[in-house]
Amino acid sequence: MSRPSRRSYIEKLHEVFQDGLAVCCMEETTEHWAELSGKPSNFYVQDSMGMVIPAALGIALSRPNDRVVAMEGDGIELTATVDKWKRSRKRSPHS
Amino acid sequence: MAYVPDRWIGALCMDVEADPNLIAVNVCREEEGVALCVGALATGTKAVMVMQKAGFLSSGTGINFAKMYQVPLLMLISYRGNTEETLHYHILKGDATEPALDSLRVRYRIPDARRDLAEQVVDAGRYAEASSHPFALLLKKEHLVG
Repeated sequence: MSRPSRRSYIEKLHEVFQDGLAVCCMEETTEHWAELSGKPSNFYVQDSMGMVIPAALGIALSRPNDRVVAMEGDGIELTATVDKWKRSRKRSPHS
Repeated sequence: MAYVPDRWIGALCMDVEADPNLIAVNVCREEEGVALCVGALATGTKAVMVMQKAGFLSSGTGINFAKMYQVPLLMLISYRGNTEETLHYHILKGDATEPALDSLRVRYRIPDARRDLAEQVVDAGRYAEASSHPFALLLKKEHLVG
């Protein structure tokens, strides 16, 4: 069995999050998402490795009624500490 | 407000944490706090990053991120290592703070201790918004802990 393509992952994610705001980097991922979604409110980040997930959290905290999805490369696991974030009151339900 | 505390800004951070009208996010790394502010500012929400100068010095990618998307990022930076510093380990990095702001093309100001600090923070935020560019206030000990 072959590995699923990046496109197939993005299509599946889009089925679940098509009403949400997307924050993503990586050229190919962005191209796929933009083609499927086309929402002007999506945030397609150029360069800036490691900035997508915290930026998405900032958007989610600012827009608690919106669903926000962040797409990053696997290198972020080595550089980000987002899983260790401590957040105080007013947690966003979708971040 | 996103923040990483130090001794000088600890009380400010605790005040914001206790304020029900504000959202405080205690991040583990300053650059992520900068990016969080960029996300909030991109939606039109006011946001400020509070950190020590050492955190600013390790936030180059985040600050460039803010510049690239022309968001009015306001940074309140505790200016450890300025010429009033008594702790030697802050001094080398303190020497680098203003040159690093200059090299990143980020304008900054050291507040006038004779004027109300809150007014100067508001002015700094207005400047950031007018310029659509990051702006920094370098806060000395007298501004924060008396």
